[in-house]
Amino acid sequence: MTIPMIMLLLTFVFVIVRILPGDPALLHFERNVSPETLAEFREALGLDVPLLNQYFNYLGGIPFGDFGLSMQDFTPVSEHIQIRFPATLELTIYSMLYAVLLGLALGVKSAKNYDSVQDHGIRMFSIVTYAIPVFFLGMILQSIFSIYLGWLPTGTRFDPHYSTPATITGMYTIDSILTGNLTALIVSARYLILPTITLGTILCGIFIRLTRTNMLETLRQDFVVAAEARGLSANKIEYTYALRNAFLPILTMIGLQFAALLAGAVLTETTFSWPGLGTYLVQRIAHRDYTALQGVVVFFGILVAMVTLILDILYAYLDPRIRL
Amino acid sequence: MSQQAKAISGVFYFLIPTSGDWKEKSRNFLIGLSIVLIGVLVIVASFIGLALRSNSGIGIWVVGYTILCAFIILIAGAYRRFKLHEGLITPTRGWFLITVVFIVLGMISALVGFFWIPEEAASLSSALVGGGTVLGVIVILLYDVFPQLQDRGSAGYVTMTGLMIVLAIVYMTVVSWWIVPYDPTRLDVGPYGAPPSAQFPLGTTSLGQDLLSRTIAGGGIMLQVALISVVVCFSIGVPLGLGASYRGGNVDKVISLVMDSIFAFPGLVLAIAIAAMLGPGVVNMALAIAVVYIPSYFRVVRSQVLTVKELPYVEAAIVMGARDRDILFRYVLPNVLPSAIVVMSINFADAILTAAGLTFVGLGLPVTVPDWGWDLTFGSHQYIAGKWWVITYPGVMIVILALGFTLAGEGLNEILTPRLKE
Amino acid sequence: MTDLLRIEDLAVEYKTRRGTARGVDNVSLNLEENKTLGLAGESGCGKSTLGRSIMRLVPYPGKIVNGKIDLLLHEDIVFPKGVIEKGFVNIMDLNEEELRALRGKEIAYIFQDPMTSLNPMITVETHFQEIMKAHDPDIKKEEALDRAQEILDGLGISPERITDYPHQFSGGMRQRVMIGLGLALRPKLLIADEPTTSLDVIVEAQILEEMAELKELFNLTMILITHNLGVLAQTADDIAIMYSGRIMELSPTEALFEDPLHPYTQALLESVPDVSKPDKKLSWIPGAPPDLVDPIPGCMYNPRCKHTMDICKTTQPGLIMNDEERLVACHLFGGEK
Repeated sequence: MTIPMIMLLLTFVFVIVRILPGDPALLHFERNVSPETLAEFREALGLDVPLLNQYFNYLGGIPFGDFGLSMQDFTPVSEHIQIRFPATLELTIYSMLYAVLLGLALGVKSAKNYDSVQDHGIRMFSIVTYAIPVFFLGMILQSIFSIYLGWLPTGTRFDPHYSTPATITGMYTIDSILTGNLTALIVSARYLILPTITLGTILCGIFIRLTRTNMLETLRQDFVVAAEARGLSANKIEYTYALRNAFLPILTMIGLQFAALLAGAVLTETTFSWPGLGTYLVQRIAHRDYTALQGVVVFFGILVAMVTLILDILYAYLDPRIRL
Repeated sequence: MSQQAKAISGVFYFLIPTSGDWKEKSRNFLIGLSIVLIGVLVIVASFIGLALRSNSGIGIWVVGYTILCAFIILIAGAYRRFKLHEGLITPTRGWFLITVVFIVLGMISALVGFFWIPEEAASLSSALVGGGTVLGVIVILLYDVFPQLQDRGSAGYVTMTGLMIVLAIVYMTVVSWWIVPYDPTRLDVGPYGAPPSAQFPLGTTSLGQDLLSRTIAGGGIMLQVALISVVVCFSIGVPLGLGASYRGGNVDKVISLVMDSIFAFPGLVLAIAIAAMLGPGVVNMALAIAVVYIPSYFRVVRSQVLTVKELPYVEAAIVMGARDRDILFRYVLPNVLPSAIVVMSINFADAILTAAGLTFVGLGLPVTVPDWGWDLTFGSHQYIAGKWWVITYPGVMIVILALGFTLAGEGLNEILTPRLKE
Repeated sequence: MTDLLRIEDLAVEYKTRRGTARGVDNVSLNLEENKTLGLAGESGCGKSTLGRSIMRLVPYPGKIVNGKIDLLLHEDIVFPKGVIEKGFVNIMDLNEEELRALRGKEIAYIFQDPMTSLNPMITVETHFQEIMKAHDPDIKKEEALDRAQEILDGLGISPERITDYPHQFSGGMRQRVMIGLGLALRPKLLIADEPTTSLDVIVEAQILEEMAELKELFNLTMILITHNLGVLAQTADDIAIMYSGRIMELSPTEALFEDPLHPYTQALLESVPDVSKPDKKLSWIPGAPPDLVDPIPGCMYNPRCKHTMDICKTTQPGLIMNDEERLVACHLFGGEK
């Protein structure tokens, strides 16, 4: 199912970028350009061949990691992706971790104290997190913690006064741990805190609600009452019974939210000047670099499809009812 | 206590103490009512205060006229209640009456606008018609719908709060042009990036625009974008979901696959790609957002149809030889619509946030159009220097508007699609 | 014979948005050791709530508002955080820890629907390990496994199947597993809440027979909750008929079937089909049970009763004992309270 979905997605992006606007090359230049420049430009990007050929060239390149060339300097988009993707990955992993953990903790608390002041407060919090634009939350946190209190850096990934850890994965915190570089770990962690909290808070609302609903539903089920009647302890019931049963839908939600996470990452990165794929995408838009735009968008799409696939497999492994 | 009494006295029902512990109850009612009344008074007073200082000079008359319209609607609502109570008309006829009053008032308002300032007729008429209608809807909601929603417990209050927030912002936006103290589109009306002062209560932007005026008028773009995109989504997603899932077979498979692949895509990234290729503009922005959210409708409708199709009463209808059309519209659709409406109200919030996001990455409208998203984006270069006001007010407005839609969706979700019931 | 369980003036209330409903209204009963008490009544009459409140497991938003539940313990119950001394202990006075030590150890509860009463995520073995560990933290894994397999074997389930998940068992097998879990720690009191309702008739008969055997084997005292009077005729020593949260009649089984005292019991028995009397004309009880949120004055059954008198509409009849030592709550049987 994943393969035809990716194919459709690729076609979709192709239609949007190459066919919808007529001619992306013409769109790139704000002022009139000479026909020669235009022809040269098209040839360099491979836009001079018929559309169908363009389509197959593009499809054929994807499996080999070819995401096209940038209109800016004709460098392969995949090179930029390679450099910037670790930054995005680092941000998204920590944000997802933060969102899921906070969501689980608050959701469980909310379900355990059903219909109490705490419960209503947590529900309200989850609704409000849903209504805040992620970049506005980022700006508020920046204003408070960086500008007013001065505790944390306003943006970017690393302090230029220190040297970055040796590149292994490209994710600074992981690299620092792998190379045993404690200073780099502390510095990169300080830079990570605000973007992670921003992105994670926006996402955690949905996990709070999901955990709460599922916990409530599970706690009302017969087998939970039956376990209580057998004298099992409250902790055992809440964590190994209710939470474990509530966890599978949450796992599915992690997959579904991964797309939202990447979308949020684009805005968060822009707010914090985080040098990841999101800022790259926004910069390319400002330069009317439509081929680079296409490459990054396609990359995002394939990434999400892959993550969904992996989670589906994991799901089947964790649920004994699906296990073969 | 009785349904009858509730239906007659509307929101004023809560003034009537119930039997028994009436002292305590009426005290709670009075506290609640005074909170509501104070809130309403503050809002009305601020509108009037603004209207008195308005740039157009006739702000107070515009606001006064819309309040008059609302009052007429209130009288019509009370008349309907009275007739209904006496048993003289059916509820349907009653709603018909209200609709007629709305339409007549709207036409009168359009004419008033036309004769008042002929050269500004289009703008003034739309402000009068829109403002009168929105205030009228608020009145009808409070007077007629609230007592029914109140029976649903907290979900009813949540829905009502959400709807009120949204309608209040719509009203503000509709009449904004006539009540703003300065022209929100003009640059250099004041100093550059000045903090809040008596002359500019919310401060000015770094281009010298009055932030208060822009905050009042800035909802227009977002509301338009959200409305267009939601209408497009709804009118494509729902029929597509109905048709595909009811037919089944290969058509369903193909459409589901297409929808799933769009759904799996990071929404904002896809919207960015489409908006970048379509170029700036309200409709383009709305279309870019619409494409992203069609699958949410499709999926919800589809799963509902698949469930409903298997229900015994639908099977019974099929066995009895009902036509496909009848089954689809009279059996399936009524079961599907509630979930679609819930998706719609959440979708409004999503559309607003996505529109703000698109503006933030530089795909918004030109500077002259007042828009919260734009102010917020532009302010992101200023607040680092400590100018907190340039982002705070537009940002808070976006949050309030999105919160209104989310609350309404949340409440409707509990009312229309009950899941967790005792 | 001594009493194992004494319930006095037990009342359970449900708080709903419409008001407060009395699910169980001042119920008192005594249960002798090694006897089986049947609790019967229409759905919603409070029989399950009564059963659950003995374990203090009344579902939300219900709450026990009044009453005493005395349970006789033959030995001290030792648990990690303390000891419950032997003799009569009032379950209402126990804290959460003590309750937990009691549940499963002294009282076992079997639920109506075996399809949903087992945790789908863990194996049957884990279920057994959990309950044994909960009451004896020092137990060895192998020992617990041996005991679990022994119990399953006794219930006619092959011991190898212990590593299976609940969804791999049939309904009857799952109910056997539930019974096995209930009896794993040799409790004195077994409360079975409609244990066979969701099973088909043949399996139902098997399970009931097995339960009767197990009762003899383990010296169990049983409370069997059901709406099926036929089930009770085979298994119960005494039967309590409940209506609107109150006990209407409590009689030995044979006496109840031969000569029902309360008009409600009479009506119930007339509505039960009897294979041996194919000509019997079935009747039904007109009307519906009263609204518990808005209780009517007097006897709750008076609007549906054939013998309604004036006093029925004003005064609630108490449970009184007649000459044959049977308990009945009806004004037809003596005015003295």
